[in-house]
Amino acid sequence: MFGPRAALQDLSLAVPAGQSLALWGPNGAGKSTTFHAMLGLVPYQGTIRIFGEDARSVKARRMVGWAPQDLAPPDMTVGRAVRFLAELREAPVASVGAFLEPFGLAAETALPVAALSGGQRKRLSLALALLGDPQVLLLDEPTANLDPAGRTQMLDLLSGLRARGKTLFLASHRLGDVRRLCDQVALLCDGVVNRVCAAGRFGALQRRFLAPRSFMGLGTAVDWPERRCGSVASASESGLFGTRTRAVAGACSGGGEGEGKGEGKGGSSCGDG
Amino acid sequence: MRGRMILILAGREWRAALAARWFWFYGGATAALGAGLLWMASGMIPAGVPESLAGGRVLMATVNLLALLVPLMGLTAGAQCLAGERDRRTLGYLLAQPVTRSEILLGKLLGNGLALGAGLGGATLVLALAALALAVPLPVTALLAVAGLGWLLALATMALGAALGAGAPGLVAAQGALLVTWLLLVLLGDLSLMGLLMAKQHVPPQALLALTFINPVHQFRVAAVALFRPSMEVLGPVGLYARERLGGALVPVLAASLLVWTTGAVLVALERFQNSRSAS
Repeated sequence: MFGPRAALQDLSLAVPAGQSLALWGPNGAGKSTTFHAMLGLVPYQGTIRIFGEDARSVKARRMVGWAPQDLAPPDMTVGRAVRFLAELREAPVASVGAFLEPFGLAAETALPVAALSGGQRKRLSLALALLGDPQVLLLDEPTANLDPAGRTQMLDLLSGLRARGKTLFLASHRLGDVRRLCDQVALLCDGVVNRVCAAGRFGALQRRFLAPRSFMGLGTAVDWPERRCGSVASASESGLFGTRTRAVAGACSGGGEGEGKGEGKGGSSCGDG
Repeated sequence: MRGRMILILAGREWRAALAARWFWFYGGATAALGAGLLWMASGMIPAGVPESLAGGRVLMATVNLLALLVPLMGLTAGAQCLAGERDRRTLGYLLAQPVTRSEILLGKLLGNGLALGAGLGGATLVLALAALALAVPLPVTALLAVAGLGWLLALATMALGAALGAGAPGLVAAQGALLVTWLLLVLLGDLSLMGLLMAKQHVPPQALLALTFINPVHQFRVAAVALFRPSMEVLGPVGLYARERLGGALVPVLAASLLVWTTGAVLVALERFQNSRSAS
């Protein structure tokens, strides 16, 4: 909730351990808010459980590592930040330099966090999220504002985590990142009230709903085929990557009729699929 | 609630306070003004004022100085500990860690409370050294007792500042609220204003005594003055009335009252922090 306004509504997701899910949607769709709710930072109605624990509990937060979109620099050095957070997570770090080595930050331990570049701060954010070896990682736009080399390095790090069986939640605009890292995709609609529009394996989603060119050609208007909405729970008009997507509201089986076609204004008229 | 987490957070807050400009500004101002008072007192002695009287006057002026500056220090420390984090957008990140809100708040208050104690201790040390250098005899026991009471006042006002900052949307709003609160505390604790209320408005001394227990600044002032100069001239009518009613228990009762005040304000801060709807 943002004051009297609901930022998310009817969000229902279950992600098995070791799987990775992308939250995909335009700016303001509620991706970061979903993460904030999973961390107990914003009030919500309903239930969020992480390995059976209420998300608002300390026990659940110990199982979650969060790499925010923009790590606000704490007023301390990199080394001090690592030690402080390691103590809070009850996972002392023997050598900060060795811990930061895989993230390319071993030489920066004496620098204030505020002095790091955007890319370095992204890597530090991931490093801090991994303190205490949490089973679940919430990664908010982990490759945003990175140069190609930095992006490749970050994706390699995240792929390694995925291979180690971490459960990843990834909020991203980048299709390449989603394709490389995620097993499932949940679409969030833009608007006052956001809903999960679709969830399913990314490959299937791509085949079913979007012409291949739409993934490559940003800014192309794409009409979502109404007869191929098998896994769509509900959807509304939305703007993704500058394209204009239109989806049917209401679930229908493959080849079935497009029922309750909706072009929801501001995303508030998502159908109840 | 885990004591270890509180200590970790307190350690971080202690280091942050020692690196903060407000800490050195207020600590330095207290020490410098105290030293200035001593320098003026040292000028009284050759003019014929007895040494003990000169030292007593310095102590009395120091009490007034602390009654002005310490609430400002305490309120600032308390208000910035949460509102500052919120302003820097680091509070959400802290809350996302496996710590409870109570642990965060108590850790911050403990760290800042110790830093305030260190600041006051440092200022007292400077004062004692300046007294030695200027050959003004300061009653050491009374000076230490005043510093101790000053720390209790710092804790009470810090907790009040935290209660203000816990619900504030940002540092600017918290600072506005703390300035108004500081003015109210200082004005309502003014002894001459209380005397005027008694004389002109016929407010009974019992009501003014109740006012004393409401206002931590007044509690500090009456307790500190009663330690070494229990006279009408400096204690004021309310203080004198309190001394008559409570006798030798006046200072311990007022010190305990400052602790009760601190506890109450911490509970309010906790409640406001628990119920603050958003972290950032």
